[in-house]
Amino acid sequence: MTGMTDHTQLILDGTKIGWHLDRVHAWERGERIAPITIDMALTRACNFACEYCYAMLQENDRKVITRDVIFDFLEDCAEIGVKGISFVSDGESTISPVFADAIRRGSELGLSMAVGTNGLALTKMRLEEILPHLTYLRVNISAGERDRYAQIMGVKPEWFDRVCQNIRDMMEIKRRDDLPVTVGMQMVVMPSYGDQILPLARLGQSLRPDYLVLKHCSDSEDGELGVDYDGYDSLYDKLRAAEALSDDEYKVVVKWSKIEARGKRSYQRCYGAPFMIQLSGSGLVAPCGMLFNERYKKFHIGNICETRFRDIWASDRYWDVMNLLASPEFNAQKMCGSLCLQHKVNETLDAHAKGLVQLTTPRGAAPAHIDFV
Amino acid sequence: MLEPALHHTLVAPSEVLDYEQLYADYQTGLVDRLRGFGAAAECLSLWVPDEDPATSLRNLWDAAAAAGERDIAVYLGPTTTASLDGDEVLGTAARFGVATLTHGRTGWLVEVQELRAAAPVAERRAVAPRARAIVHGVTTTPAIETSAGAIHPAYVDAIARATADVQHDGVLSADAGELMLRVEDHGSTLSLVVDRETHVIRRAAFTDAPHEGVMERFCALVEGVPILDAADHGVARLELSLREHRAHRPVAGIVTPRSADPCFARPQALIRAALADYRAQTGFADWISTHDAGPAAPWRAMSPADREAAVRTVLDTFVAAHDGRPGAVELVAVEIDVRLVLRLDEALLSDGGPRLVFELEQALRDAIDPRLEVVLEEIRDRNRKRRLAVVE
Ligand code: SF4
Repeated sequence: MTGMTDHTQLILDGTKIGWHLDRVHAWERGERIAPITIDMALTRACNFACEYCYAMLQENDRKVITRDVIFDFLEDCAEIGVKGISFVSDGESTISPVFADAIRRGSELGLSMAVGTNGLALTKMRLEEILPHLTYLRVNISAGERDRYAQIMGVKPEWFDRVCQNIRDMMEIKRRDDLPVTVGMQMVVMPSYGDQILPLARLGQSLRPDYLVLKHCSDSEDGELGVDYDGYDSLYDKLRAAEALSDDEYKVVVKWSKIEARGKRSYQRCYGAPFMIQLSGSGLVAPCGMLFNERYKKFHIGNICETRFRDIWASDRYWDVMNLLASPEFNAQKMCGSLCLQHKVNETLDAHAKGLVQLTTPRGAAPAHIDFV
Repeated sequence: MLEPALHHTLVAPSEVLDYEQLYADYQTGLVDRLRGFGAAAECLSLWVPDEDPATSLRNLWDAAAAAGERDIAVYLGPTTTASLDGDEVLGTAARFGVATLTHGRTGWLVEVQELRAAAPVAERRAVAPRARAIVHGVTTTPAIETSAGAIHPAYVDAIARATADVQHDGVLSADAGELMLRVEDHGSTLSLVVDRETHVIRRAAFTDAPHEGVMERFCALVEGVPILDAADHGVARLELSLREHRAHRPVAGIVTPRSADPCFARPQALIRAALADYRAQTGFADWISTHDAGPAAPWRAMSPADREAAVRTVLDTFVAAHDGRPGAVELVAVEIDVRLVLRLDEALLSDGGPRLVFELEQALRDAIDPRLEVVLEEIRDRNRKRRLAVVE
């Protein structure tokens, strides 16, 4: 039994914005909309040191998200109409002392909660605590072999075994309690990691998560991580072979749309941010993670360690920044790094605003994880 | 430091962990260390403390067991024991192995031997109730109302000025190599002369517009712009150019031509019809506009020294207006021709915050060139290991 029942579709390479037309219409009328999804971290710290980590480009003033801060934040989110909160962003949230409480509190408030993690600190006991409250849990694992894992993710080789065991435990608990949570694995594919695509897809076959997603690596507008987008061409055969390892209960999904975009954007305006904002593990509220660094201070809106989120959201400052991104004075093709989290939402809303597509209520059953656009 | 008396009680574990020190180190590390973060003790690489000491200790024994430790001894100082019940601590510890708790003068020593993962129990620790009632489902605040049929006040003056100086009314004719387009919507027409090679609009004209000033400004803005970009972004530029003050937004949320005022519907319909006609007549099939006009000729023509001087003048005026010390904002570099990297004095920045940088950018754009961008100096990852792993 998996959490993905027959009538729900798991959209891993696309956007679910079409399922939130009420909010799209309010946005078109110029109303102040609450984000549908907020991606955030509970800390900037991480116990890993992955080679491709974007968080190294996101340095900003550190502040500590305490239990009171996160509880206030979650309550504000529920109050203004946020639907889903994912703990991914720029730090490893599972190592925050408030992690488990935040998951539970969010879920009790009716928010859909999700986690992206390296999975190391999720012992079976902690999994028992959090899995019933999660919509999805995704483990970042960018290699299928111990030594390469240690090299790519900057950790001891033994940690590979621990993470694999934790994934087995996740699936055991999910099946035992018939939980609706989706458990996934994610590989950030750099062109130089091609040797790990098939070993990881095979590892997934034995660990049996619901899916393995293979995605591109983002880079800054100046290409500071040195991602060679043309280098992905040579991986296409391996990526297709990995997809072929899918079966009824284990899907291998390649984010083709982003890989094939080669880091390019079809749009200049950023309309997605008001629908989907990001918070740093320092508490910083910014339109997106690519703008966390102090370099982009002009886009920084506030900090939940200092100001209640509902007040930040209702402030002129919030709407000044969101309006700048949506205005002709901003050009995402020139001023942004590659392929941000909001990319698919941006693409869709931009095409809608240009009259190229008409967003209409999608047919059929709502997809899984609908609150994570 | 451990109490000497407690040291004598130790039997099996070779090392006694000082819980309060571990907890403090962990908290500091969360702020000071970015990558490769972990608890100070090797055996606790899986440990995540909790603000609640009872949960924190439970996590500690669980982490040690999961890491394959056989036994562990922890000293709990007075600050920690003050909020704990000894029997409960011992009961929790006993779930993970053979547990003993020794009371010292100021603290406790808890030893667990033959560590094992605790059998799963329903961990449904209640989250402390909160005082505030939650109101669900308030998702929007309404946009500012305008009276039906009237142009929003944000645009009235600029439209009036454009109406008083109409230069783009009428029809056009095309020269060799150019293509003439003429489209109509609700009785208004838009004529464009487009260069077939570059797809750039050479000339634009209109007739019978409900708001002449709107179409006048639109025609002026699209001349010299590729037709695809004019269709995709021309009306948004029109909206911004007609708004009297940038900050005087016609709606509470996001301004788009559609949300701003119905007066933008006509140029939008006309330019889209013109693009469709152009595609039909020429087979033009591009869909992605990457046009960026870049900075205007005066900025492009300036030498680096002239640019620096022009920027300096604006910065000095801005700093003076904000009571900053002379030189409180420095120009560090100019990247990709238009991106100004600035360094701001801490005092000025902490007073004005991000809004100040935002305003500074607007001041530079207004005074020098609308294509200028402002960024501050980057803060780099403080973790040396991480930084060595990338190309600097
Ligand atoms: S388009 Fe740019 S500003 Fe918008 S979310 Fe993406 S990176 Fe951020």
